[in-house]
Amino acid sequence: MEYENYYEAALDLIKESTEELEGRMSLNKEKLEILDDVCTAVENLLQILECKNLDMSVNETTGTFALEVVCDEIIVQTRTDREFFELISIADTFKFSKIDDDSIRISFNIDNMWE
Amino acid sequence: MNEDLDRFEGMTEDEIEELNDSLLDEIGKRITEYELRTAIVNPAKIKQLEFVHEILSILLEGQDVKIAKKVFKPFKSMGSVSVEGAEIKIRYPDIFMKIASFADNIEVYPLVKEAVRMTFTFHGVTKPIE
Repeated sequence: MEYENYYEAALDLIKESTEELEGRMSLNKEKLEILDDVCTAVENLLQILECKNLDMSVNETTGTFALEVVCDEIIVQTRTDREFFELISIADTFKFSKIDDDSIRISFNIDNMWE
Repeated sequence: MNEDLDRFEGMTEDEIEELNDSLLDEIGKRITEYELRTAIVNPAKIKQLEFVHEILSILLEGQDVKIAKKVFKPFKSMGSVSVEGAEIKIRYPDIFMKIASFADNIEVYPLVKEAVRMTFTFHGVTKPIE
């Protein structure tokens, strides 16, 4: 999916999910405050990565909000490519998974966005 | 990246192929020359590699992943620690960042089987005697 403004799109999804989760979980405002930084860090990462797709998801069971980057592969030069490390230093957890023979998904998770 | 592509501008496919072949030949020659040189093991680098292997084993405990280390492969100056699994989840990014700083680069790519591989590559596992 293409987003003109990743942060705005993330805010929209969070707003929508907060309404759906009403009565079960409530939005963690402290976590919401780091969203802008995480989105900026994702945009910075995209400058060094040939990204195929960008997406975001909500796990309504755990209350985790994930920003997802789909690409062929990721190669990080540990001494120079600060963008990747900048992003993982803000995210609570991150994970790599296979989509198909040519693509991987990197999910940067903000845990307990809803508690 | 664009600068790399600019080099091929105006070249025919045969010329590009020829250029690629000559580059590969040159790289192969340099690697062979390097491999033939007498080298000594760099214990600090090997310790770092083993440390990364150990910490990854702890970080990924409970996950269905395979962790492997290679020393002096694919060349005697190189080593690596790799993790394979359908999903590799990193719970403590701060610790990951610390161990990542020991490696020269980290690559993550899909495998033909239903898995991804994350590799920490180490250069300078051996040093040639000048």
